[in-house]
Amino acid sequence: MNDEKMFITRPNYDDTTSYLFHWSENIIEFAENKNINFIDFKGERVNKKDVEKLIVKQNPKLIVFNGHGSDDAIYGHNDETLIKTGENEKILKSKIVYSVTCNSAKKLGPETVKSGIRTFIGYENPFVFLVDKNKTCTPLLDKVAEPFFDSSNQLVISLLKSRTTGEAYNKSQSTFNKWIEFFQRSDAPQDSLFILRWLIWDRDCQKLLGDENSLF
Amino acid sequence: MVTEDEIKKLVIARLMTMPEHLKVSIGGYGMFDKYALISHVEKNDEIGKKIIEMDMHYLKSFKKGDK
Repeated sequence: MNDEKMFITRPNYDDTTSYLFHWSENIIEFAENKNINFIDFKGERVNKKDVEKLIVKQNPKLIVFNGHGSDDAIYGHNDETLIKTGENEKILKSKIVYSVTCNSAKKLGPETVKSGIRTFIGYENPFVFLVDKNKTCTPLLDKVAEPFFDSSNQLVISLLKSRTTGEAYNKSQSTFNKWIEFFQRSDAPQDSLFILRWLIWDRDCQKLLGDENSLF
Repeated sequence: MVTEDEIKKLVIARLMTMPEHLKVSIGGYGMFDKYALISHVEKNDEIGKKIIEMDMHYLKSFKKGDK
């Protein structure tokens, strides 16, 4: 068993965070099955005070942020700023971070690398996904959303399987490509054209910054 | 040379074909059905410009011979 800890944040206060919240359960289930040490902050617990305290005291090696973001920040419950460039990005020093938030690889990511983060993986533009509006009450049954979250989750699952950050990034990229090829088939489902365009967008916006050889 | 207005019309024409049951989550901007997406493109506001950028990215990916 790996003694290192994973820390995952899962705010859940609007439709977008609800999907991130529920689809992260696949990661949690995998971690539980592999007896990986993890801390799961849900809902209101995803606030700056508690997140900072947890990172400093528990020193998790891998942090997965789910939620909203901007060029220079990652947000928690009700858009409370958790990590912001020039404020507290230094607390991520020596960590591996996967930020499933919009835009955070644009400015915050490079700043965390300057501050000594091991690896930052995130999106330099909005992380976009499609949903079936008849399934928003049961996100895990939403087949339209599955390709987006499967591609994203494979990154964390690869890290938990002791792959390097570079290998995990490649796994996520190849999962995006697997789905893209699936939706380009002549017998692909009717929603394919729209799923395809935003899968390509997410794949191309996902960036790895820092060390490609770090391990959880 | 394609004008900005022509690009907008092309993006709207493509969005018109989007199935009614789909919605798009664009991070902090929110979740939008096709009519809301079209409205933002028509208004050419921040969200509309981002939608156009995404559509252009998709088209360029084919030009590059991308998967």
